[in-house]
Order: sequence, then structure tokens, then C-alpha cells
Amino acid sequence: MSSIRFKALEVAAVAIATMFGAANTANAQLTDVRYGELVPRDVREMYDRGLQYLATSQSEAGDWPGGQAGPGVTGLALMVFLASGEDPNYGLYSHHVRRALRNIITTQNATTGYLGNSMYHHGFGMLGLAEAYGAVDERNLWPDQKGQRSVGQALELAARAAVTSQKKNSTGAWRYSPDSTDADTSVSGSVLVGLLAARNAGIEVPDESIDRAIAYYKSMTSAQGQVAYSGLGFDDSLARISIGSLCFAIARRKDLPQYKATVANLKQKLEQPPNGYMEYTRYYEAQALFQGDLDAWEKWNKLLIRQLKQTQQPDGSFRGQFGTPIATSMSLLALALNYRFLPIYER
Amino acid sequence: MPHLSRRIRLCILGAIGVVVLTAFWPANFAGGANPTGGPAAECVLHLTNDGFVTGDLRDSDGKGGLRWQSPAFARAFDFALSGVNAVHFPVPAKLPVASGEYCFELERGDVVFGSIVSWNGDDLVLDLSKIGRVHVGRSELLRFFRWRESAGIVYQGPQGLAGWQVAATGSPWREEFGQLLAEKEGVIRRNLGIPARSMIEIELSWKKKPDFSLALGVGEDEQSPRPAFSFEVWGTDLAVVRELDEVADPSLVMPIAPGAGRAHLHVYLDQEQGRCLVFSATGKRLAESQVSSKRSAAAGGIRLENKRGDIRLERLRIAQWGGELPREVRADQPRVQRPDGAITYGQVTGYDAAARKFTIQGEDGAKSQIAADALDSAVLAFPSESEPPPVRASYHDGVQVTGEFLKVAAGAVWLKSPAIREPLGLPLAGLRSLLVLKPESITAPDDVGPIANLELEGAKLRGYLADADTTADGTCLAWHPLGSSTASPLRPNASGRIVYRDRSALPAGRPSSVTRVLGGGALNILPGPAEAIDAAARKGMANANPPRAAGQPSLYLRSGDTIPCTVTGIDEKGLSFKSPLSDATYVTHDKIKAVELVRETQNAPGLTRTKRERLLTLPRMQKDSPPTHLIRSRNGDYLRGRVIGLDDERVQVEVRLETKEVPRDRVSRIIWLHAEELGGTAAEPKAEGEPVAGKENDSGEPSIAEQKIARALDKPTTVDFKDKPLEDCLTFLHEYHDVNIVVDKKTLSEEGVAIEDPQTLKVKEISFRSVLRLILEPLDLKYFIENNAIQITTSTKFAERESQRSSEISKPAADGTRLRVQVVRSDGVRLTFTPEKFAEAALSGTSDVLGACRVPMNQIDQLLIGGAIEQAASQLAYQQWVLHHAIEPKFANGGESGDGGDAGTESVLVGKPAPLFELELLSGGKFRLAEQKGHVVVLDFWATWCGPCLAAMPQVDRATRDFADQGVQLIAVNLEETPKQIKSMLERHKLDLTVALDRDGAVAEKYKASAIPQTVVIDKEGNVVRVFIGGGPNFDDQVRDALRPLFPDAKPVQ
Repeated sequence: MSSIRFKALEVAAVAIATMFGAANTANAQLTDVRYGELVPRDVREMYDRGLQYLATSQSEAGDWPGGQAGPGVTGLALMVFLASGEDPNYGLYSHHVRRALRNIITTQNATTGYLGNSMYHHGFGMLGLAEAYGAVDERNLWPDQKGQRSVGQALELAARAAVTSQKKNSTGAWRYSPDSTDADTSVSGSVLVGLLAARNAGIEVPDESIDRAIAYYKSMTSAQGQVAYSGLGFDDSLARISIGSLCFAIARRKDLPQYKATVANLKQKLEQPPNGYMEYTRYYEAQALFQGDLDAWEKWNKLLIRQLKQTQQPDGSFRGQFGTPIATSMSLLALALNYRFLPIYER
Repeated sequence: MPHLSRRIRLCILGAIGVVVLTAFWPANFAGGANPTGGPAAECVLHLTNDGFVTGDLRDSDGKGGLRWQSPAFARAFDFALSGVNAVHFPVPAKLPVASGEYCFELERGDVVFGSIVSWNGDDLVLDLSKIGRVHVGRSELLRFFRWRESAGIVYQGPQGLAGWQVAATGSPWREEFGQLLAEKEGVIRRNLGIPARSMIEIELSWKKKPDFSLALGVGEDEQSPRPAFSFEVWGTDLAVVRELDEVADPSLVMPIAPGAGRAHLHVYLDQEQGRCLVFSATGKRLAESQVSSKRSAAAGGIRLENKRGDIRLERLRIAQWGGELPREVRADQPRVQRPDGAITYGQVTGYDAAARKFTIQGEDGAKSQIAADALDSAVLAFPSESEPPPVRASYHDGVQVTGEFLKVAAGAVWLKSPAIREPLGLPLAGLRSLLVLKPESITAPDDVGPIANLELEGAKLRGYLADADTTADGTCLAWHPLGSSTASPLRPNASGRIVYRDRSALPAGRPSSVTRVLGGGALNILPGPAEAIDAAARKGMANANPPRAAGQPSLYLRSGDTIPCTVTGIDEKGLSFKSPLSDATYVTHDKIKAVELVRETQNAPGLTRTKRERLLTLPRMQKDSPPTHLIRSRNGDYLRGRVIGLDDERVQVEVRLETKEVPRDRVSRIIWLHAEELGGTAAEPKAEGEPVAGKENDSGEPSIAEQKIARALDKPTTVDFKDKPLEDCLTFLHEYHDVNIVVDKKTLSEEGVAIEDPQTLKVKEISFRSVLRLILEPLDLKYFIENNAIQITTSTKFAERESQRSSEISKPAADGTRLRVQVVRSDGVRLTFTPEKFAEAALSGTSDVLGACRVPMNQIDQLLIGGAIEQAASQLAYQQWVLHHAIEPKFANGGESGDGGDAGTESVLVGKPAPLFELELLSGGKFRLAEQKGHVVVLDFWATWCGPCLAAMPQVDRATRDFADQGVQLIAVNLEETPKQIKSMLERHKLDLTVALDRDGAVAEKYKASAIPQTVVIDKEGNVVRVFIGGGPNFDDQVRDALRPLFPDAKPVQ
């Protein structure tokens, strides 16, 4: 049974690769899928320094200690490599990519599919797997292939875990624990984006699951585009507005008035400094604006580049409240919209 | 003059108490010859041309005059004695008292203390304290008397303003070498513990006109209405008056001539008797004032008020007074006086040291003996009119010796006194002053360069630059003061200026030229005449720019440099230019303050203060990405943004993240706004070791994140920690202020600091900085800012880091051989460079920006030196353009609860009478606050563009309506908007309010409404009881709470 299923997954992978043209392989995308001008030199230099930092700070086990750690953090860092444009299979960082993938899969609960110690990790870990799926040649992923899950298997398992957790939750969304019965828009964002990425990568995710999650976000979004946290108190959290907006966009629900409200809201506040969670906000705001309004993103992106230039450390890292690995990864992923190599950045 | 002052001593010699006191008062210290008096803390040498220089006397053979080493100079000067007015030494904290059995008064005002070794006719040997055994000419000894060391001096000064009460702000009183002076109206006072019976010596002087009041024996403060003796200027007279409630006894002291003058008075004050006797310094009895009062008690204070004249308090001495008044004596007869006051007329002719007996030859020629203990004082001779020798040395304890100046050696100044056979080695320790009694004016030699004034801290010396190269121990700026036979290079750490021409005296438009070294040859450049001062730049400015070079395009650097040039481009890193003054063509942004590109149209409008203020206020939304430039158009409009490029055709400006292009010929100037200049809105002293570090950045400047931390440290913080471990507290603070906090756990665990111990702290609205201190101090931890985070470590580690930092900081200072100068030319051009050589009347050196420079002295108005460059630069017009943060709304700082608002009691207005005003109402008619007595008035300052105001106003309206039947009136004071704007807003929001029109913002200013919404509650008596700033979610309840106590009888309101 397992071998049949494996076949099916391979087929799916091929299908994705065709569907997005060559989108999942870095080399081919260089010429086609760019918007605007070439990546500015200072962005490339900043990104390269950041990559260097992540490359040298990865542990033998494939994760990034020195702050919060776990499959979510590993997933984010993995995406930084995938988003760099370097060939994940033969390029400079192919070993780092593989080590990170092995790490995520190893930490996965083989039975439940749960990644790590919170649904945040699960969401970001799943996203990392989804972005790698199809792009990374798995033939040599494990020294001994026997008994090891492939990226596709791990991703499918993770998606199933997320759907299961959602089913148990009357809100139709997620919170820290897979068994929670309440939800918040921050955790849910990481899981939903991970699920959507998995679905985009060809993993079967029931429509009902996406619809319920989108319904949750609709209910949490005000007419002015604010996105509440857990209860219904609307404030101006740029991070949550961006998360809501991004979820609608990737779920292909740009038709929703709630989506339009979030984009309009964000566009009003391009210069506004994040009111907390600096790197986390930038990570989501970059994607939300990119999806929502390219002109607005271009303006905001200039500011982002200027600010990151100021805060990047000499070793290429960025410091942040959840630790340097997360802050570095999220800062670089906000910048990575300038490259647009990740499938999740597709508009 | 000196012998006149001796006469007073003569006429009061009969009264023992007085004798003692006057002996304490060497009557001719300083006198008229020394207008500046003694310094407070440093040795100062004063020249006859008003120059002075701090430093110390060095050993010299005396032939070259006084050798003087100033800390600002590498080598010593040799000042010719004739050009020196005086050398003043520091006043010790506690005045020494002379020691010796007798006080001897000699010819020429000399006073010495000691004992008599032997005395036989004309052979008189004294053993003098400080000096030793000397032979004194018998005819030189005028008087001697038994010395009592007990008579106490209560105060001798002044020694600067320290200890004096002055007005907290705007006091005109300042100090100059310890003396106190004022040129505008103002009061100083001090309790000096003036005894009930006291003798007070006062020296006052004025330059233009005296108009003052000096009161002796006043109480502690302005409020205490103690009757005191007061010296007042009444028209052309100085009068002393004591005023009680019903009587006054004025008495004229002396006439006052117009113009500069001085008063030197000896005042004998008996506060118990209500009596005051005034003597002149020359011993003349000038006035007496007496008003007895039953309730007299001594008060120890002095109060000096300058009115519409100018006044300088040069000297003030207060001593106990025995209370006995001068007794009439036959003043012209030699005599001795016994302790009981009995007088024997006759001459002392000898002393038997073994028997302790004096020999007296009476008027009848008969000799008698008198035991030493039975002789209190003796008058032997009277001063002759002899010329005093050139130098007088005066000590703090009253010793005074005149003589020919011999040398300075081994810590002593050597004089030859005509009265004493031996040369006298007078120790420098304890000296108050060396006075040159017959100084001469200093003349300048003909064959030297332009004469100028060198002004440094601690020196003002007229002189000229001598040719010099940079040397190992000094700079190439070698100053040759007039009056000195030598020149000395300034030290590299000098700061000050050389003034060749006072700009204000110069006609505008002097043609000028600067010669620049270019390759091998020299090139002359002629910037044209200076033109009109830029009127627009001056508007609202503290200081005007000097007339600019030829009204032509110029580059203004942050160092103050003003360089005529053509700007060829601006890019991300800096600005390219071409200047006739320079080989250099590029300067980085961090050095630039402004450029002027083209002349403005004639009638370009200036900027009002309000508009300028608005332009320089950084909106909160942009606080993490502040604009970097102000672009001014030729017709006076301003654009705030980021200049990202400039070429021949256009200026590229990023405004609110959008790139715009402006034709270059429309831009008249660009002003740089540097992020690190950003002014905060809060002010609290920074923690030690809290310089915003950020060394990790290439620029060496704090990153934006670190600036944010610095701002956060000032923000009010409310915490309520109960038994929370340190880490939890820090997590809370991290979230509260959204700044990163990193704990150096490694060091903490190495040093065994336990951070698990629970902390308890409950504080409200204190600064984040203080909260940090409160939670860190008990654990002996410290914080600093680095790597975009607040770093917490042990105090040991912190100290290590500090010492490392300070050694790093001190490095460039050690490399202080690089003195910089800034040349200020008459046409306004300013150039900063490191001077390397002064020769052929030109200063040459190297500029960081411009390369090699050579400036002929005849073009120089001023030469700024060292740190004075930055000080002067900060005063220039463009440097005043600095962004500052918008005020944060208070409710946004209120923490998690969101109930918002402050208590409304923090404003300085609270508790004070509400400023009265009269404003037109939107509905017609006028509102006068003065007519509202007996009613409670709520003023709500607002504007239609202010979102929070529109949120607050309905709440205030609701709250006041609840009290409407109690007579509360709400006046919505609109700021500077048109009735049309206001009406349309009221319609849209369906508000029915009484709106008053504050068209020019004058009322808002009276109520200090610098941020709106501001809501002011005024009680029935017209006093401000609450000032709320910022509204907030539950603002209506806050207003209700504020109003309720004003109506104690009112029924509770729903």
C-alpha cells in the first residue's frame, strides 16, 4: 500500500513542476518570473551575508540553536536557502538544505505527523517542507534511505495533522497546542499558510479545511481591515493584518471585501513602524504587500532595505527577541521578496 | 591713596577692638590699581592692556620680568614687569590668620607679624613669621601692637556665585574671577551669619551707572520682612537708610559722579542698637544711621539688588566687632597705649628681651620702662610721602610687603624692601596677590604681523602669531603676547579664537582672496563681494548666518565650513562639487549640513515660527524612518523627504516612500537632517555608561534600533511585579517597550549571580530607565546598549567594559597633536583645517574635505581654535534646523489596561489661576473667561485635523452635559482654523458645541497646549484643577471624576 501511495506522490510532484512551469527550480526562474528591475546590489550583499551567517551557525543536527529552536525555526531558515536562488541540489548550500530537511523530518512524530512543540513550529515546519518539496532532489537525502520518510511523505503527514487538529477545534482554526479548542490568528496564520503551501505543492488538503480557516479569518477581520487576535478586540497590529491579508491572498480569495480592507489598511501605514514583533511583522508584511499591491510593496521594500541595512550585524545576522536564528531568517525572508524564488511568493 | 587709608587706622588706634579689626584689613589691598581683584580658584596674571592669563609663576632671575606658564601653552612667557598689573592667587576655603606676638606696621603700608629679638636705639631686629630674622630700619617702623588671633573674620569673599541665592531662571548675576556682577535687574542674597555687632568692609564698582540696593542684616528669604540697613542710590547720592514700619533714618553717605565709579566702605553695624556707622576706606566718617526698634534681633543675611544700572561686588569682609567706637586721640603724637586704654605720649626706644620690658622716652625726655604685658600698642612715627617701590606682595593673612622685584626661586618671590636690610624670600604659599604699583601701558612693536586678541578659556591676550611650524610639543600657532618677550605655541587641546576684526564693525562687501596651494604653484581666487544676508534663513532663527560668500552657491558643512562651490551631483553616499577653494570634489553626507544651489526669488516668503516648528516635528509614524532632507524651492516652499539623487537637470526626492523628481532650477537649497541630531521630547539624565553605543556599525553612530531604545528608556513605565523572577520582569519590559533585552547569562552564572530570586516592584509612570535600575541594582547588575539591545550584565563586567571603552575613547584624544582651526573670512567663507605652518603672514594646513589650504592673515576676521569650532558651528543658522520627535500621546503610554489618560494633575497649570482670555465664538459674540467666575468651565483644545480630538470631544460633551444644570460650560477652543472648516466638521459629526476661535493659537500657548486634545477644567474660583492631554477610551469618566468634586452638593449622576 505504501508503495502505491508513494507513486502517487511522485506523480503529484511532477504535476506541480509542470503546473508552475519551472517555477520550483531555481535556475529557470531567473529570467522569467522577475518583476521590475534586477535585485539591487545592496540587497544581494545583505542577503549573502545573512546566508553566510545561517550556513555557519547551523548545527550538525541540522537545526539552529541559540534562541528558540525547533522545526519551525529550521523550516524558516531552510526557506532562506531555498529563496536565495542558489541551486538547492548542487549549489553552495545544498548540504545545509539537506541537513535542515533531515532535521525537520526527524523531529516529526511518525504517528501523528506533529512537528515540534507548538503549532507555530508545525506551521512553519510544514511550510519549509512544502517549499522544498519538488525542488530538492531526494535521492541522496538520507545516508540510508531505508525506513526514512521522504519530504513528500512528511509533508502529507504534517498536513493531515493540521487538518485533524482543525477538525477538533470548533473555531475552525488553530492555537498553540494541536488539541486546543480555541484559536488565534497568529498561530493559525502559520498553520494555514503551511497548509496552503502544501496544497499548492500538490498535497491533498480538503477544501473544507481551507474554507473553515478562511471563514475564521473573515470573522476576525473588521471593516477597516484590522485583524483581531483571539477575542474580538480590534487594534492596529500590522503583523496580524498582514497575516490575515496573506491568508486570503494565498487561498485565492482576493475577491473578499475583508481581503480588500486589509490591503487598504496596510497601504495606509507603509511608513508605520511595527508596534511590536519587528521581524515577525516584517516577514508577513512583505508578503502581504507583495500580494496586495506591487507598487505599495516597492515603496515599503525601499524602507525595509534601509532599515535592515542599519540593523544587520557584522556577522550577517539580525538580532531579535526570539533569538538570532529566527530574527535572521525572518528578516532575510522579508527581503527575499526581491528574489521571488519561493513558490509561496507566487502572485 | 595708600597713606590716606593709613589715616583711618591712626584715628581709631585708641580703640583696641577697632585696632585689631583694621589690622585684619590691610587697607590698601588692591585699591584702585586692581579693578579685577583676586581670582577664585586659579592664579591669574593681569596685564595693563586688559589681557589676562591663568597659569603659575615659574622660577626666573627677574631680568626678563615674570616668567609665566599657562596650561594652554607649550612654553612659558616672560612678561616685562611694567606691563603687568597684578598676579592674583586663589582664595583658600578657610582664611589663614597671621601668627606672631606683635603686628608691625611699616612705611609704605607694609604689615608684618612676629616678635622683637632686640631693640637698642636704631638697631632693631625682628623675627618675622614666614620671613625669619631681619634688621628693620628704626625709622621705618610706624606702629606696632599686640596681636590677638581671636578676633574672628566671619566671611571674606566673594568667591563666585556658589552659595548665593539667585533667581532660578534668567538671573543676570554672573561671576568673574570670584567677583559678582550684574548688568540687568536681579537680586542675589545669602545668609553670611553677620554678627549682631559686626564690621563689614564692602567694595563695589560700576562701569556705567550705579542703581542698586545693598541691604545688610536681612532675613532668610524675600518674604521675611526684617528691617535692615540698606545702601541705596538716590539720584546723585549714595544713602544709607534703615526703614522700620513707621520711621526711617536716611543719611547720605557720598555723592556719586556720573559714569564709572566705585565705593569702598567700612561699615560698623550694631543690629541690637539699630545703629550703623559708615567710614570711607580712607578713614573719613561718612554717615550714621540709627533707628531703634524694640523687636530688633540680629539677622545674618545680605541682599544685593541691581536695578537699572550695573554693579560689581568686588570685596566683602565681615568680622566681629567689639562694639567700641573710635576714640579721639591727639593723632600727631608718638604714644603707647595700655590694655586699659590709658595713653602715655612718648617714644619707644628699646626693648629688653630677657626682662620683657620696653624703654619709653617721654615728652619731657625722661626714660621709663614698661613691661611688655602692659603695652598694648605703640605709635612711633607717621607715614612719609615717599614713592613706593614697584611691587607689593599681599598675603591672605594680612601680611603685606613692598619692594624691588628680585627673582622667583624655590617657591618664593624675592623682594628688596627699603625698610629691611636683608632681601626677603616671600613664600608663594598663602599669597593673595602680587601688585605692580606703577604699571605702564603696553605698546605694540611696529614690525610684526596683524595684532589680534587671542581668547581662550583662562586667557585673553593681545598679540600676534609668530612664524612657526608644528612642533612635537605644540602646534604651529605660536602666540606672542604684547608685553612678553617670548612667544609660545598653543597646546593641541586648546579651544578658543583669535579675533582680528570684529565683524560688527566691518562694512559689508569687502573684496577678498584666498590663496591655495595647488601642485607647486599658488592660485588666487576671488570670490566677489559679500551680499545681503539671507533673510529667509534668519527668520525665527536664534542666530543669523553671516553674509554669505557672494550670494553664490555654497556648501555648508556640519563643522561650520562655508565653501562657495558648484554642486555637480548628489548620490547615495554624498555630494560632488567643484570649488575654487579645493582640489576635493566629494564630501560624504555625514559631513554636510546644507547646500545653496541658486539664488532665491526676491520676495520668497520667510517661515513663521509655527510653520517651522511643524516642519521640524517628526510625525510619530515616521519615527523609525525619519526624513533626511528639507528641500526649499526658490519661492520659499519646503518639501521634507530624502534626496536620493541630483544632477544637472533634476533633484530626485523620496517623499513618503514615493520618488518624485523636481527640476533642479526650482530648488534653492537643501538642508540635511541627521538622524543622530534628532531631538527627543523627554529629558532625564542618562545613566552612567549609557552612551548609545552602536560601535558595531561602520558609521560608529547608534543604529535606529538603538535610538529607539534610547527613547524607550525615557518613556513612562508602570509595573507591578509580585515575586517575579528577573527574567519574567525583563520579558514584561521587553513587551512593554518592544525593545530587545539580552541577559549575559554566561557572566552571571560565572559570577554566581542568582536571578531566580523573586522580585517585587510596584511603580507608576516612572521612566523605563529608573525601572531597570530598580530591578537591577539589588542584584548588583548593570545595563548598557549594544547590538540593538539592552544588554544586562554584572557590575564587574560592566566596569571592565567601561574601562575598555574609555581607553578606546581616550585614544583619539591622545592623538591630540591635530589641532584644528576654522578660518572665518570677512565674506562669510569658513574653512576648517589642520594648520601646519604659519609663515609669511599666511596660515597653511590640510583640510579633511578640501585638501591643502593656505589663507593669508589679511583675509581673516577670526580664527576659531579646537573645540570652539563646534561651539560656533552649533550657533550657525543651518545648524538650528534639527528634527525633533512629535509628542507621544499619553494614553498610548498607559500600558496594557487601555483605560488611558493621566490623572490630569501633572501640568504646571494645575492649582494656578487660569490664564484669562477673550475669544470670538463661532456662533458670534465673545467668550471672556473673566466673566465666568462662579461657573465651572471646561476648555477643550482641538482642531478638525486631529483624530484623537474628534474622539475626545463627544466624550467631554457627554460628561459636561451631565453637570449642565450645575452650571458647567464647555468651550471647544479651535486652533487656527476657519469657521467654514469648523462648521462643516461639526455638521458631519453632528456635534452641537460652543466653539471659540483661537485664530492665532495665542490662547493655546497660554494654556501650554502643545499637544491636542487638551482638556482643561477650571473651577468656580477661576483656578485650573485639571489638565488632561490626549483623551483616551474612557475619557468621559475621567472628566466626570474631575467635575464631581467641584459640586459637592450635586446628586450622583448616572
